Amino acid sequence: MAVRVQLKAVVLQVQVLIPFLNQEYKMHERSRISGETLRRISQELAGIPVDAALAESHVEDIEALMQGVDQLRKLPLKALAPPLVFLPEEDLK
Amino acid sequence: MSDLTLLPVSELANLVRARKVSPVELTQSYLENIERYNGVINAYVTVTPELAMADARRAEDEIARGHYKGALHGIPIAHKDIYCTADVRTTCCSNVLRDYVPDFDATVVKQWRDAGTVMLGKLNTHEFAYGTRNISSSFGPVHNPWRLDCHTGGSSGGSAAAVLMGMCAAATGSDSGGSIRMPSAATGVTGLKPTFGLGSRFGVFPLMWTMDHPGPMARTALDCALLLQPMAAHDANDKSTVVRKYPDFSWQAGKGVRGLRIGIPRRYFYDEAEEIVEAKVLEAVDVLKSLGAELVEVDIEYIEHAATASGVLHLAEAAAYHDDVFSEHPELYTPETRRNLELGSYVLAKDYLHAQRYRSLLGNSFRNVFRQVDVVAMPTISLLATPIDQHKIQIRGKEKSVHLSMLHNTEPIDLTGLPALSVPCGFAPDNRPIGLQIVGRPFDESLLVRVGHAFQQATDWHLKRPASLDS
Repeated sequence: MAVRVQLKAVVLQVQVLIPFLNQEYKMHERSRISGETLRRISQELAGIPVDAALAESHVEDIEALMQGVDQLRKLPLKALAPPLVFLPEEDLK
Repeated sequence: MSDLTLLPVSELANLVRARKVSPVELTQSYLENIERYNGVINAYVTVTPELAMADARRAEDEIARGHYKGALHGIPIAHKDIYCTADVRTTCCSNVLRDYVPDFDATVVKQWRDAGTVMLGKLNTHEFAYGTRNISSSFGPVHNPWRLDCHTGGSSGGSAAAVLMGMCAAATGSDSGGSIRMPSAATGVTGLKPTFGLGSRFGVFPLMWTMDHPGPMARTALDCALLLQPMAAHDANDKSTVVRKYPDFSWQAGKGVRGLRIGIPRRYFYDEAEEIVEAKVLEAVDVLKSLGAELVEVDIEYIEHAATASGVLHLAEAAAYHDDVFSEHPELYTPETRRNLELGSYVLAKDYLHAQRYRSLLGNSFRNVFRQVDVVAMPTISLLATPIDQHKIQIRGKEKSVHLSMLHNTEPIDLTGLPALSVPCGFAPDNRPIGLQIVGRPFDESLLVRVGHAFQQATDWHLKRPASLDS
């Protein structure tokens, strides 16, 4: 009985997952980063204030990185979980 | 330079064991070289002669009483200054930790101490290991002994230069984007980045938790095997270390390479390198072919995205680690580190996770290649060591960042966690060294040692030393 329930669950997962994995989605195009965006992220989100000139000097590096990220986002990553494994803390005996 | 300090650990160990050379005599020789060269090279940031002599006398006494511990007993070594050393200043070459004296040893420091090594001091590094050339350090840059105006590669530049100049027999390094292999190649020494999870990161200041690899740097592949041996153990203080039974990493040395299949990934690893680097590395793999190995052309799918993924990961993880100190005291960091930590604020969490997922994709590509071949060989770094103040370079007609080009061939191997060995394999006409990188399957370090040892038995690049500093 338990086996049958498990098998049913697996079949259900596969049925749900396969069309999802095969579906092609297109991400929205990103607009070019501005110095003002970086300044505000740094100030308002990161808590690492940078002035306008410094933020502007970061634009070229971050835009180049984000263009690479645009390509990274298009890779076949759907079925891959991030390889980060959490282990609960326990006292070793 | 004293003759003893030119010898690899494997030969020194035989002399020490046979009591033909005493650890005290050996330690004095290395201390003399530190005195002779460090003012020019800047490899050491802290020298501990009293502690070293005490270690050496203890080792000598133990060996005399018949308590020989093994190949590292009485061997003088030094640690990269991001490894915590009890009661010895550990600065990460940053003003952030200018006066920090830990009260504990990093696990690797303890492992090497328990094996009987003699610690000579602490070695220069790019600040917090966050760089590719060892040029941003609160103690100033390390100078490449082959060309003093050039960098040594980094971040473990002090370790590489010290090994090359006989200022220690071996050293620790750490590798998150190539920081063991890049300086090994740029100076002409041998470095081994083990599989992720083999060595403990406990007590080693993190650059990026998910890609930091501690490992040894020495004269030869065989030495790296000896130095890696005590590091290979599960550590309850570092959950990334795996529970595994490890072999004697030198067990295959001497078996040669006949019948081994060596993958040659020309796309990306060779065809984007400086021509002289490509030519010398192709000569090196031809040596392996002449020894009986079979060369097989291979291609690593998705490799071209490695720089982006690595960049996202190091920016995000380093920014997270330094978040508190950096937000309070950004002025304590060197301008290069400061800029990288600022850039780390802009990485989205979802892109960090995409980059992590890419690691599995790239790992699958390498796994597919390792179904065809036993190891993969390529240039360690795709360019020669450049002048310390040079930040752009022309490679095959394209202007590139020196920093990013340094990482090009090494960072994919950190992303996958695979083991990799760098051995010296030649020089440019102006005496700048070139390295051959050999990458293997997870936990197959002994095969890398076998290939590296066979190459070093057939060549003498690893024996070369710059004569100009002695004239």
